[in-house]
Amino acid sequence: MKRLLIIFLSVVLIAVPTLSLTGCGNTDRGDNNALDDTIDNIGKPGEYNTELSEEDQYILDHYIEPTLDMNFYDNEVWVILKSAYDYLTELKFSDLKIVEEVSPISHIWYNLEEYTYEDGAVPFKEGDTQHMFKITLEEHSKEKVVDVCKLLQSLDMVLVADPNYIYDITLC
Amino acid sequence: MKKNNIQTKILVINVVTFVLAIMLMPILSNSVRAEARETELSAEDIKTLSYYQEPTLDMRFEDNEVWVILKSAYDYLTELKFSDLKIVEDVSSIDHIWYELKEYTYEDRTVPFKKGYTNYQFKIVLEKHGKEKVLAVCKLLQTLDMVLVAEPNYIYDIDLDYKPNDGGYFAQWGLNDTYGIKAEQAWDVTRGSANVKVGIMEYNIDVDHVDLNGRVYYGNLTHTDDIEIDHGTHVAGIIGAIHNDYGVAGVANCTMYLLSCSNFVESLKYAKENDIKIINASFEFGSGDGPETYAAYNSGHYNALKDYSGLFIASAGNDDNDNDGEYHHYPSDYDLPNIISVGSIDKNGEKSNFSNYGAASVDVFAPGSSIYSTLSDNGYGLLWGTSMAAPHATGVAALIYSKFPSLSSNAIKTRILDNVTKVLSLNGYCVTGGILNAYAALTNAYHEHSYSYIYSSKTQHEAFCACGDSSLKSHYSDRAHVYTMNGHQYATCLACEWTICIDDTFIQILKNPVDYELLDFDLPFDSDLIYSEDELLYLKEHDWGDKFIFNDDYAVA
Repeated sequence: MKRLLIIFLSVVLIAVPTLSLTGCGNTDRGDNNALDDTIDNIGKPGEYNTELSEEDQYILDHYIEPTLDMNFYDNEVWVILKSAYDYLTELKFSDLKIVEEVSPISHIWYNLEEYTYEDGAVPFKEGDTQHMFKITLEEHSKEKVVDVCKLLQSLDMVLVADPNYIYDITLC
Repeated sequence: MKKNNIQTKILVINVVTFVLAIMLMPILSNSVRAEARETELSAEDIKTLSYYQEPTLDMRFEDNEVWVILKSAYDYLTELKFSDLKIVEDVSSIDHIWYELKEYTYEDRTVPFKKGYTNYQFKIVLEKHGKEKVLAVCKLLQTLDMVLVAEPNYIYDIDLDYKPNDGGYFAQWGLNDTYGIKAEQAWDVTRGSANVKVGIMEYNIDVDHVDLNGRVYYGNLTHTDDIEIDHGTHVAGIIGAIHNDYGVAGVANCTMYLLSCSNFVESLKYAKENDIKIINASFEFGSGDGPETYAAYNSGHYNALKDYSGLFIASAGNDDNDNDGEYHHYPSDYDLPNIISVGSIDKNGEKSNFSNYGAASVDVFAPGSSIYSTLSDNGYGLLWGTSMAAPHATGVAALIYSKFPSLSSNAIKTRILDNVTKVLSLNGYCVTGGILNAYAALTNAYHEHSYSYIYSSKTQHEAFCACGDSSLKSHYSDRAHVYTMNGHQYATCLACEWTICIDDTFIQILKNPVDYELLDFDLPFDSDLIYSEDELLYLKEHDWGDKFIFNDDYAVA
């Protein structure tokens, strides 16, 4: 019995650090303790007071709250994550569960690729900062888009969630 | 008891193994990665290799210089140690290594690589001269795993005084007229390269146009209908119409890709992923019914632009609006280091009456009035707008990039903005107060010197001066005051001996006064300088000794 326990302990002692060093898991937390605070907050609404970078603050300062009279696509939402979440190597669909209160997600567009529930997660590009992606909802409705934006804004990781605005474009 | 001892020993061995595993794992995993780097060639590496030609003695090249490009797998390097190139010393000591406009010697020990660059490229200058030695060094360097190619610094014959024979070239005042971008001089340095990828954000481009065929491809936007096809075709022609003895001549040979202006973020990501280094954006977000209709800042657009590492060249807008004021013009107004906002000048070097401006928000002016370029269905015609000004700058950026492929977008922007042709009429209208100058940007000519204004102590009128290369010597008998923009120093020339040259209608100081004293006073230059080519020609025929007249209102010395 003791021998089995020792073998078990040996396996655990060697396997756990090995796996963590070879990059298993969806985060690369490094030694930054500040990041630790953000990990448990992914996908959860609430005020977590995650520190904002200068870049975050600049974007927030220019943020305009969407209203129904604005011109935007009725099933698309752009999301920018806070710099504090740059360490993320992927975004799980389950991290965006809150969106489903309004509409299922048809797919997520990130860096020229589309990802669906079947993919399980959106793999973020190494070195990418302020991860940015577009959520396409299954249901079409401007109200739903505004609702989803509000819900997403309640997530700690989300810096801004904007509708995909349709602009008049004038050639100069 | 014995059994317990064995179990304790096994436990100790396990703990030791655990500790060793933790200590060795990073090393082991790194070494695995390093090994992978030894063999892997990226697509870019393979492309570069495909152009490689083995140097031979009968080729023309500098006899003590070797260009080296490292494999992509070594992009992770933050510096290059001189000791990494020890192998070179079998042939000759290294005099210095040139990298990104700086020279490094043994005393520096290392060459610090710039972060974010790929396929590091540097030039080794040998102490000993000899074409054989250069070939030997190339061969030795090629044996190093990190080296993708090592080549002599080839000397190419350059067709000086090149002038395109395209039939409509005479109408392209923006390229080489008085206030043009000095394209002909620039083409003596380079005419661009098909390796340079340029994105054009538009609705459509006639990719089959005889002057564009083979140079423009669909990027993330495919041809759907003919919406605004003339605009995009015109812009593409300014940037890169083929020099083919027919139609018009573009600023630069390059490969252009049509990107969707509607899907702005997606287009920027596409450009990033496809190594498109320069993007032209001849449009604005807004309905076009005046500056009050400009669309607001968009966080997604800003973030995507920030993420794009290339150069984004945007038109400043056509509403005669001060972009520094109440109404901001996007995308040109996003405050990011990789954006160049371009206003428009007319043939007289004046701000086009429609052009937006901004002492802080518009960077430079370029030809944008009555610009002759390609239209759809093999057509040609004139168009007006900052839409036409921006592609001149895009073409210049493509020329610079073809000559210096390893320059960052910020460095290319700096070259363009540091080397404008200053014009007093643009003072206060843009950051640089000048017109795009392709030749100066390529050669970094003005950056090396100080920009100066000169005016006479007699008349208190100033004339515009910059630095140039052709010269005309002059000996003033009177003292003259000099205002140097670089460092904001004021000086009075006492020796009164100047070397002055003329470039078109501009007076240029080639050499600063031999003897001067610094004074502390402000110069009264506040009005536009008026001059004409005719008067300049008159000046050229006369001794500069005592007459230096632009016109009746502006007399100097």
